Amino acid sequence: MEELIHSGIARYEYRHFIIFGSASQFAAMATECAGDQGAWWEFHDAYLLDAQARSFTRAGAIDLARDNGLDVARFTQCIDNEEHRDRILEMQRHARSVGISGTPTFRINGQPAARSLSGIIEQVRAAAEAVENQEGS
Amino acid sequence: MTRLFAALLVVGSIAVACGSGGEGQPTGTATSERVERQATVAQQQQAAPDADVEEQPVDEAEPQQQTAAPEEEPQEQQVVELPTEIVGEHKGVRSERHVLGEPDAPVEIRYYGDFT
Repeated sequence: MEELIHSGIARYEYRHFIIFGSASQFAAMATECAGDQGAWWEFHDAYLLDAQARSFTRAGAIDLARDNGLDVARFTQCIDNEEHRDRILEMQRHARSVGISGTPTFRINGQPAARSLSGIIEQVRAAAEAVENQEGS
Repeated sequence: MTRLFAALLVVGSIAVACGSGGEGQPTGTATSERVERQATVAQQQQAAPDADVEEQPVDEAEPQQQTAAPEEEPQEQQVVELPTEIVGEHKGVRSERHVLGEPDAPVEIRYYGDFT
């Protein structure tokens, strides 16, 4: 999969789809606040992979912001004011409008993805070939 | 070496996101309790849509806002618009908010996820 991204064949986009309530929503908002300072993916990775970050607390988010060298005051103001709440909810509404009902869910060029990782990779390659053929004709 | 490490991290990140489930929900080798729990909840959600979803009141309230005061809810606000983003590099790949990879890549892999 990373080869497909590194080679420029595919790009990977993450969309929030909140299904676990306030902790999920807080994590999404904190990630967006980090994104204001260019650290969206650092928070994304931490919230998926770092056990400590996965407490999803305000204090933990602030620690994470500090660890990533962010402007902590700005970050704290952002999460406390829920500055990205509307954007996340709008993202949620948009996802529902295109038929998303749970997570994790993948779409490849807007189409439902295969059920296995290998199937997704094949699907991405096929989609890339289709685009190449279209451009070549 | 750096590129290999970055590639592994990207795969790891994506693999963590992968799990078992229904349509578009791949079975990855890194299936975790979190993903299994998500799949379970997702199934519950599909069985009982909107149950326990925090934004549910907003979803329900929105049409009322549109009918009650449409001029306050312009059409453009219904579109998911992300502001101009800081473009950087993450694990060796071009990155901006929500997106890894080149913006003109012909294939878009979109993942809908929940961090918890």
